[in-house]
Amino acid sequence: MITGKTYFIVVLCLVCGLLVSQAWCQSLSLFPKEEILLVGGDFRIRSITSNIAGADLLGGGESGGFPTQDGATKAFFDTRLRLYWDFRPSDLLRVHYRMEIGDVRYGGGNENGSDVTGNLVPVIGPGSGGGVGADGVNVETKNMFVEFAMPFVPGLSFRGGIFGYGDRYDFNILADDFAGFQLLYQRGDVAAHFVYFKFFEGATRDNADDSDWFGIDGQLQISATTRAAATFYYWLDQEHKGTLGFTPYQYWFGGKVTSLLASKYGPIEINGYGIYNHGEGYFGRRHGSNSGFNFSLSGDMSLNFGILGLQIQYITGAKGSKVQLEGGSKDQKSINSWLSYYNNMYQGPEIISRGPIIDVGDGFNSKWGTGNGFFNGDYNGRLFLIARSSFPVLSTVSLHVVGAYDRAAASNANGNYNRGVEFDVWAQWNILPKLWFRFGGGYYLTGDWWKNNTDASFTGRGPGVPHPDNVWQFGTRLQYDFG
Amino acid sequence: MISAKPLSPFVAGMLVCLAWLAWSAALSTSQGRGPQPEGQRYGPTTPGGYYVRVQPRALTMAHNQQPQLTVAVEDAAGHPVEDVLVTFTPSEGTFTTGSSRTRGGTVVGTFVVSPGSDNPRTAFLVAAVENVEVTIFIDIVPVVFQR
Repeated sequence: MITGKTYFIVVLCLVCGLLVSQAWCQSLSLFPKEEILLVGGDFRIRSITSNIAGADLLGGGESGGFPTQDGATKAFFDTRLRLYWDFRPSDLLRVHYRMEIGDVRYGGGNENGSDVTGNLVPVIGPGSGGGVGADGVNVETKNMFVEFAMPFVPGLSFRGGIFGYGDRYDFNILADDFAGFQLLYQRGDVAAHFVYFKFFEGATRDNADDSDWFGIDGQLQISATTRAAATFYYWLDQEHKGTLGFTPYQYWFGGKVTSLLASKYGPIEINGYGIYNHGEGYFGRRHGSNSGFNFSLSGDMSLNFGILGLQIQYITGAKGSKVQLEGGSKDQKSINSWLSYYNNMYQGPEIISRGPIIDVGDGFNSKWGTGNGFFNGDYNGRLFLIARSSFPVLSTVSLHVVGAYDRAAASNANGNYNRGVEFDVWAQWNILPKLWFRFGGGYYLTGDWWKNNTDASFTGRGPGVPHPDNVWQFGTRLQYDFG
Repeated sequence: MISAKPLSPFVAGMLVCLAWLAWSAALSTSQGRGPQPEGQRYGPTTPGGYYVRVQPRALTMAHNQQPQLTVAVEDAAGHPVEDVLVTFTPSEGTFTTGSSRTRGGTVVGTFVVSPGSDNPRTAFLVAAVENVEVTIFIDIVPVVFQR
């Protein structure tokens, strides 16, 4: 019989033996600290000047994003430093920590602004909490997770902790500080993952939420030049249970095909996707259900003088105003609206979507849909046509020109469809390796859809303005990436 | 009559530890073999009659990472073929290789994205062996996404 002391010694020896054998198996010494630590990050200075309506407390944590009449110009710049430490004792294991100092913000034409997630922050200095020169209260943990290869199943790995997530359609961007875990599989022609997040937990923000997010995504290389992918997401929104008497939910499933076609002029990158969205009790604002489709098809041709691209996107919508669709007699009814998060177009327009110039949601797309955002066209849906181009004018400078037509899929309460037309021009200058500067602007000619539209206000229920301004925005971004 | 006797914690711990050791040894062995391209092979090429494999076929990366890709050229029987020219055309950035011709049946290169953006996008790299072209789609995601 083994005594307790003997048992303890045996277990201790086994643990020590395991540690040594692990290190031996991976051909590593036990404590090569200087070899396993990777450090990197980026620093940026960014400026925005615009006449887009600024944030307002009535907006419920939003950063503006619609035309006003004779609106004031707002201007501010901000700085941000991101640092990361990656501990990689072997190719099979890593522990990652990423922190952010900022965004520390200076200036602004309104009393309050917002950060990139739409949370209200005082304009002068504090960023996400601290004043300029104050002690480190504007420091934030962005990522903190462990990742390792799972035993027995080659190609399978596990990640757990705090990390961000973005889907392949650029709609559900769950950046970047939610706790969860992820199982990833990649082998041969197949890549897939399952992800779970518990996000918005707790009352750390004014718009704190309590939700569970599940996602599964897979892709298969179906030929030498084409891959296909399928995705399913499910969102359980406990926080907005409220007086609904049930837990609101949304789910999305979609498919995407990416292909590279050959032509006599040059290769054409084709991207096409379709997503179906269904839910009930969206954000606690409606009792009824919603269902919507989102289709997109794009082609970008690489020529010897640059890249030319076209994209068409259609998002289903319902006729009427927010007030009509969210309350009153239609409260229990189903609507055919696509309800989701951002509509990112990183090769597209800056104001309508979340574009490339300043890379932040400071245009119409800056909302989360709980307020008066016009992301995805809002409840009226969207028909979207984009023409884009990119030209390398110098070895270190490229010029980008974009045009976009924005139309509602269904009319607003006034019977109007036409939202507007946007033009964007921006340039990228790679000053030094990893140091780059991007600058440019966008101009949006507002259409009739905005006139006297109750949706186009901070509350989403205001009277709207009869003669909305055309919207413009100019941005700069200087960034150094290191590591 | 067979009586069920529960494993003692000691025996159970031993079994777990042995399993762990076996896994470690297996991984160590497999690591020593170097990259083994798997998945679908494309071809035959003309005129050489070669077959082409690419590893990895799916790649997700942050803009500041520099992943390696391997192209393997083999004959119909699956044997590596030496000194075959492999060309690469990236949609952005650079792809650098030690040699443009196969050594040990493979060409290994490193992909570096264009500077200046961590915007999510899909880049592609076309690897060509004679008349067969294989496209590798490379999803570039912001570092914080880590998808």
